[in-house]
Amino acid sequence: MSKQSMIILGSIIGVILLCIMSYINMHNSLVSLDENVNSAWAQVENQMQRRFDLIPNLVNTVKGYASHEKEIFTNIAESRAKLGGASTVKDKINASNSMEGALSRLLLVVENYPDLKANSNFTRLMDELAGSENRLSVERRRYNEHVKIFNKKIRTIPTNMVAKRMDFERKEFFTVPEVAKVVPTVSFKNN
Amino acid sequence: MIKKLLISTLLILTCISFSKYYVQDDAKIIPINEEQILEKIIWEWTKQTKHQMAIITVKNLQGISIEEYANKKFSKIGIGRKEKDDGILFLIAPTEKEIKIEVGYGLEGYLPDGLVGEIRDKYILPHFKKNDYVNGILMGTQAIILYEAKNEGITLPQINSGTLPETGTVPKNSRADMVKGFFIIVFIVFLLKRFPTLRSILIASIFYNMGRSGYRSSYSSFGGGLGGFGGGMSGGGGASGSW
Repeated sequence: MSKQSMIILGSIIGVILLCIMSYINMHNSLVSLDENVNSAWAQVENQMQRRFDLIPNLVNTVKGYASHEKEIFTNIAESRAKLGGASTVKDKINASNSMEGALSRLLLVVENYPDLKANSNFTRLMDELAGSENRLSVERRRYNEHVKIFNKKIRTIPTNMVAKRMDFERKEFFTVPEVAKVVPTVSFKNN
Repeated sequence: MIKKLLISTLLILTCISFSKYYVQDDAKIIPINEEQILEKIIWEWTKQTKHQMAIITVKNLQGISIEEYANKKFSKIGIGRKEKDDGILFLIAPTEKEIKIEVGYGLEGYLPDGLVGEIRDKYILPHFKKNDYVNGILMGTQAIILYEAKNEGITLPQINSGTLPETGTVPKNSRADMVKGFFIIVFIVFLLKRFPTLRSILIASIFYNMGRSGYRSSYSSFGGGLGGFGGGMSGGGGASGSW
């Protein structure tokens, strides 16, 4: 083999090696970004679960004072069941949003019952609920940040080609409809 | 030569004071004596539990909600130890008349939201309603720390629940600390005088850090201010309220 063909062969092997290396690199970075999204979503689910567990307590306390507000209790029970049955990310986001709506209606109704608002047990529950809402919004924000990075990565050149081979698809953002966003500010001033 | 030494001593002094303080009073509502009492209370607790707490007052919230502000500030300064996330942030916004006590992930078990809300209603807001910020902050900080320690099963003999340190007196220990600090500085100055290489390394590293912190504060308005925390995170736990 002549010297010249040796050089050509060497550089071809070099280029191939470089391609393989950068492929592995992109593959690994995509995997870790995917994992970031997954773990952020796990945190979101944790907080959904936390709120889910608070609701029976809250509903029971409110029922003691406002037993005739049946529609609201049915709504909450329904959205709670929906959340329990949801399996995909999209379903869970929808169920969580409808839960948010039902809870905000409950909080509006509570305004009409001064005795209930004065109940210390109820005040603590409301603190827990407000904390839960806030935690959920924090984890939602972090999740969305990770989704944004991931989605950008799988659509930009050259990682998009690797992402296609790995069957990565765009992740769902956790968006909250404007209606649900406004109401759940749980405010309770001590008067 | 003396001038240079003086400058580097001043720089060291600011570095030391920056990394020691738990209280950042941007709204200027805490007098210096009470600020030292707060430092002392937090320090006693930190010594026993290794947790960290910051008290921050802000001029305004720059138009975002106090919950979001607190959460971002918490992560930015990294209150609590990394991985343990055992920090607490007590944020007060007198202009908006809002407070938030943000509890790091690691302390949520000891300070559940309901308890933090109770502390807010019992010890903080009654004072704030009378425009008495100082006592609200003092009582609140003490209550938070004592409840946390109690729930963790740690006794803090230095901070008794009934006896709040009298206002207007500097705790004895911090005076001793100041003396200690003075000798350390004298020693450092001596070292720097003897070893010029050490001096240039120090000056270079100070400038390097200044450059870095400048970058950080331009990156986000949440950087800067308090230092020396461990890099903890929070997930929005705790309680907020207004008066």
